[in-house]
Amino acid sequence: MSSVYRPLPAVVYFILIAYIAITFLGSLIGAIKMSDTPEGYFLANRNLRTLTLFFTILATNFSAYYFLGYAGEGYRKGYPFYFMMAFGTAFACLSFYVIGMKVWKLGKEHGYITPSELVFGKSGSRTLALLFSAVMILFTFPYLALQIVGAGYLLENLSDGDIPYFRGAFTITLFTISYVMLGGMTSVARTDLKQGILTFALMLLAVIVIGRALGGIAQANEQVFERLPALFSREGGGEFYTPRKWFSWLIFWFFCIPMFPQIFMRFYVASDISHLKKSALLYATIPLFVSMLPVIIGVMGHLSFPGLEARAADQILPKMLVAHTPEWFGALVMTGALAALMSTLDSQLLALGTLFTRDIFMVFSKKENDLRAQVNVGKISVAVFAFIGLAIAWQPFDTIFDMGKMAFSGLSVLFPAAFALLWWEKIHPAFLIISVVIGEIMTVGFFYGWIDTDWAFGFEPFIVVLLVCFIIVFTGKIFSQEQNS
Amino acid sequence: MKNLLRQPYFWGLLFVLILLLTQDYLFVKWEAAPAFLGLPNWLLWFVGVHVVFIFIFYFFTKKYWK
Repeated sequence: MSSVYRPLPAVVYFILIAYIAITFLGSLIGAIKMSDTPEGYFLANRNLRTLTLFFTILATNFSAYYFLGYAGEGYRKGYPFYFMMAFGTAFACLSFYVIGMKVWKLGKEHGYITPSELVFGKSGSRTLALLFSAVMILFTFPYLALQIVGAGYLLENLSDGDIPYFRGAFTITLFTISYVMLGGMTSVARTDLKQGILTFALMLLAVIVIGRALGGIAQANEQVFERLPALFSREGGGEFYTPRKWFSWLIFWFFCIPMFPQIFMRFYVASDISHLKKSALLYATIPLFVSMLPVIIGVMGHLSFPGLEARAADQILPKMLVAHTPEWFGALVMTGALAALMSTLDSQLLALGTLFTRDIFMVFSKKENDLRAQVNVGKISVAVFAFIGLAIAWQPFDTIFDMGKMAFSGLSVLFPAAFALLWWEKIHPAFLIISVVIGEIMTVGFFYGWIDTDWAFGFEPFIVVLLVCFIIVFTGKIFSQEQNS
Repeated sequence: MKNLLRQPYFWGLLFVLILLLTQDYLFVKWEAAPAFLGLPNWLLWFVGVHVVFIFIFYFFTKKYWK
């Protein structure tokens, strides 16, 4: 990876170490407050109120993809990407009602901790429940690795190459493992609140400072417009957003976001339904503002670093910070970026650890009553999953966008089955299993080119996959109704 | 009116309508030009649609989502 920058002052290391120390201290407090039960470790005793709940959902969702991916896509595709993410993410707040409300109620009534426990409770099928868990674990890995890759990129840029990509990725992973193991969901939620506020405040400052360095945001934008008008067109750079792609991406997040295991499990943790409603409303509002910030930096990046491609474009944000802001300020903002990706990484690790412990270890070991063993297995599996993510990050995909797309598409396949379980009574689980299996085969097929993208008819392939899954599930509904009657 | 606000179809229709407003190519073709802060002019349309969406969702949480 290229390194273009100046010698690194001690203040950069000071800011980094101070941030890590403060976060760790917060986790220790979380660990002290945590009750040593599975519900305490995995779900913070289902006791989160609006602000903490909202920030833990937001911070979990706004990850390395937000800092590096948004800026990289802004650089490649321009301003249409902003609205696609802002509205697409906000529109997903409807899933707080469609999925979240029912999940919260059932979780409260039956004490569910993982998505699969709910699936088993509603369908009675152990196969379907295990399938849900397996898909969630498997397709979270690329997204988890994406955070680790982001950490490597950031630290390498921030330290001017002093901290090589993989060493940086390893250090941040190790630190995240330690505080997740220490305090579970209580720790994660407390950290997310601080990290969320820090992330967005610093990003806003970064846009202002970089904009000023380039003669003002308006002037910088006008200069880019003169050189690359495509980034300001409705279709975006490379005319990427055709009407069908635009439609695909705008509705996609509604199906995808609630199926992230770390988000699904956050529907359980609201102390009351009113907190879930208020969080949904905030979730609809905030992306309108925050999604714009990294995209502006990405677009302005063409003035300072023209002609970047693939992985290099994903590093446009750190490059701009290092090139146009004082070292201490760049360090501060990149610490915010680290906060963003760590707040996603910790939630993913905790979610995967929970899934493994409750859905696989408990089912096969028959240690349902050994609560202490559950928490311990949860902690060990957090470390194991983190190292698998690190192994994937050794050889990352071409772009952060590609890594995200694979994970997001695979998880969204679960939506039709989850919807059917929550809203339709007595649907035969075989149809739900078929829908998930066919959906995943198609997702992987499209991704690796085994299925020609002509079969997507100009839409993004995940739309066709979702349509097929819904048809299978709906057929199941009709069949089950006839059988019951 | 009270009855209407309790109908799921009413809210479903409203959200579909909002989604249609984001499919701007169905009814307008933009000539891109820098506007406020040098951002493209068509972005203002989308920001407006987003604000309307927030407004509708707010009433949805108040009047329908119990």
